[in-house]
Amino acid sequence: MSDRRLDEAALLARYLVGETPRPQEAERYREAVRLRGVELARARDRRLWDLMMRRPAMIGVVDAGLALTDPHSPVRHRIYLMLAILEASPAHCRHFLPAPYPRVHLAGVAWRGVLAALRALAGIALVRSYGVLWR
Amino acid sequence: MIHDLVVVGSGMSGAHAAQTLLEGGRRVTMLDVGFRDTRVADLVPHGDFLSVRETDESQHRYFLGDAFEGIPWGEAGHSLTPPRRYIAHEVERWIPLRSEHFQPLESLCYGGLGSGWGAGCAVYPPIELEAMGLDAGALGAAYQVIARRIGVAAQRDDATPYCSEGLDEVQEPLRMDRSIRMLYEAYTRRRHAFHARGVFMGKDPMAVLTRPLGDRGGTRYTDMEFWSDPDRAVYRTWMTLDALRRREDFHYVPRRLVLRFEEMSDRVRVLTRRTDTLDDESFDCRTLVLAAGTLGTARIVLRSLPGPRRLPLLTNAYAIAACLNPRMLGATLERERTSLGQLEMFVDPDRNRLGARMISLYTYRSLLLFKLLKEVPLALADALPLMRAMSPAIVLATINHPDHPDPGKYVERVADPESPTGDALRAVYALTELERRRNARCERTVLGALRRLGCIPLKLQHLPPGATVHYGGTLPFREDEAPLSLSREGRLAGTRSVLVADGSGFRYLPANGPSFTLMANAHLVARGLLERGASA
Repeated sequence: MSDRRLDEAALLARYLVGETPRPQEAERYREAVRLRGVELARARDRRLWDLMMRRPAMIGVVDAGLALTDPHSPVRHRIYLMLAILEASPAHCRHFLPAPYPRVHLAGVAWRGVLAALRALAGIALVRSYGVLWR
Repeated sequence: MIHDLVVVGSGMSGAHAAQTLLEGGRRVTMLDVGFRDTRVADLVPHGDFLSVRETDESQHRYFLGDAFEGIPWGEAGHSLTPPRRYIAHEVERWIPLRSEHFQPLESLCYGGLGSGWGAGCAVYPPIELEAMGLDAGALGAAYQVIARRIGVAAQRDDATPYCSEGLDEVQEPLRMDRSIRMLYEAYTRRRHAFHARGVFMGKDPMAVLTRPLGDRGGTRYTDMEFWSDPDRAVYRTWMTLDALRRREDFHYVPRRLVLRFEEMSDRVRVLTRRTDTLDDESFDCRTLVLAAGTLGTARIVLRSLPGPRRLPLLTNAYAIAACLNPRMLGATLERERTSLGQLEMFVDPDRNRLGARMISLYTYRSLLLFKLLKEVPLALADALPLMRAMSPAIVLATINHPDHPDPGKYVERVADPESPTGDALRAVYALTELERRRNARCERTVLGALRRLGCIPLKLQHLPPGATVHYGGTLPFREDEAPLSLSREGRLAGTRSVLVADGSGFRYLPANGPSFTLMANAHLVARGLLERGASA
């Protein structure tokens, strides 16, 4: 169980900020999941979680789908815990603190928004299909 | 032993009533539960927010909490940061409240809710004070007394008639940050157009020192107000209590939950339960001053007096509009700034200062980005770079509505065998259809005004009733000695020697926060007691 949580922490951190967490942040994630009691009680959530852990490229798709269809899902709760842990760490906080940028970069931000919307559409389809298949 | 005066509760009302009584030469015993825990706050280093973020390896302990209790999940409501979680310690256990919709925040801590307030010090216009059942002339002088005690920063501007009229002896106002300054400049350029729509802007007085006062320092704009009390620049009630406890004529008795009182021919008996040993204990006094907060005092009075079981309840309806100030995209907020309310907007539909809506404008940084990301309907990894780029441009407008009594808003005492006191408070709170329509109309005016200031409203979220942490009206001021009411001097009807010094008497709750008025009213209740004692 313990090692599995540490592996999860590494996958989630890479998904969120593209970096491997330090051991203390991975340990913090394990503690957070335990103390907050974030259990995957529903079959659909367990299946989605297994998919994310087997295929890390799917984490973003599942997360995007749940953000619109089930924003308080325990799957998303776990990702959110890792996000908060990374933000409250001096090693990763730079990904969260605003930095000045030229206005032209807004085009890049807008493009990321378009990609995010596309990912959300794919995520909705995926999450809905899992909901039907494993109801 | 018969105590001269017993004050119940150490919040803003209790602390300032006690101070006035002590300054008038009386001896005061304060009964209080008084939970206090500074272990998390003590971890917060000195330094500004950005420095702390970049260097402190233990920041997760106060930003997230050792049990990760600072990571909110689910629907939005009021939330305390980990260093201030003790404010609500054991509230569920000792003073349970049952309600489907009403979500109050109460406190049994040392200094009460004043240990974590937002420091707004609104001076209500006379027309609102009269609607509350208060003496506007007397309150005007009382505001000055409290301002001298706690230190208030304010300025004269278009908002003055709504929130600071007559307030002198104040310090320089808090600086606005770049984003808010842009909005204020947009307002000043089109001031007359805003006025024509009943919209007025300026700064609410704040209980924040901008230069030293006594042993407290002026703010250094570290942006850490939500996490600690740097330099003690923001006034907290415990500062008054600490000072009072150095006096020999003040006796602070912690770990006592006051259950009820009995008035006898020559004394008032106060029955308490110890929160450590669960033993019952009574205190006799000549005069009892209840200042346990609107809901706390309601519990004590309902247990003590016969009569109707339902008490009216007031709280402010509350919404938050998240907006984007596009001119700030690509810019950054200053390192030295404050996260407290920086600028206020008043929407006065009837142009008479009665019933004006109060909107506070904040920029967002020190509560951390992850709390915002939760609200974005995107994958968290997609939301992060977008919100990071947008965060300096985010402006939060908190919209507060005034409240009037209505039969659909009340509290009552109900049996609860699981509670250590055997009872609980049950709250029912529902706005009338007319109130909903009026509030919605004013919110449309607010959103329109924000657009004219150059802000793009992104999301309007209504918070559950009780989320403002402003309550009142349970024992309304009346002239006729009706049961469960207060005289204007604060005396509880049907008693000779029981006074109420908190917001229980307010017949109307203005939109702006009542904290300054709670302190001023408590001072007046105490001063009236001193004057009547002197004349007797």
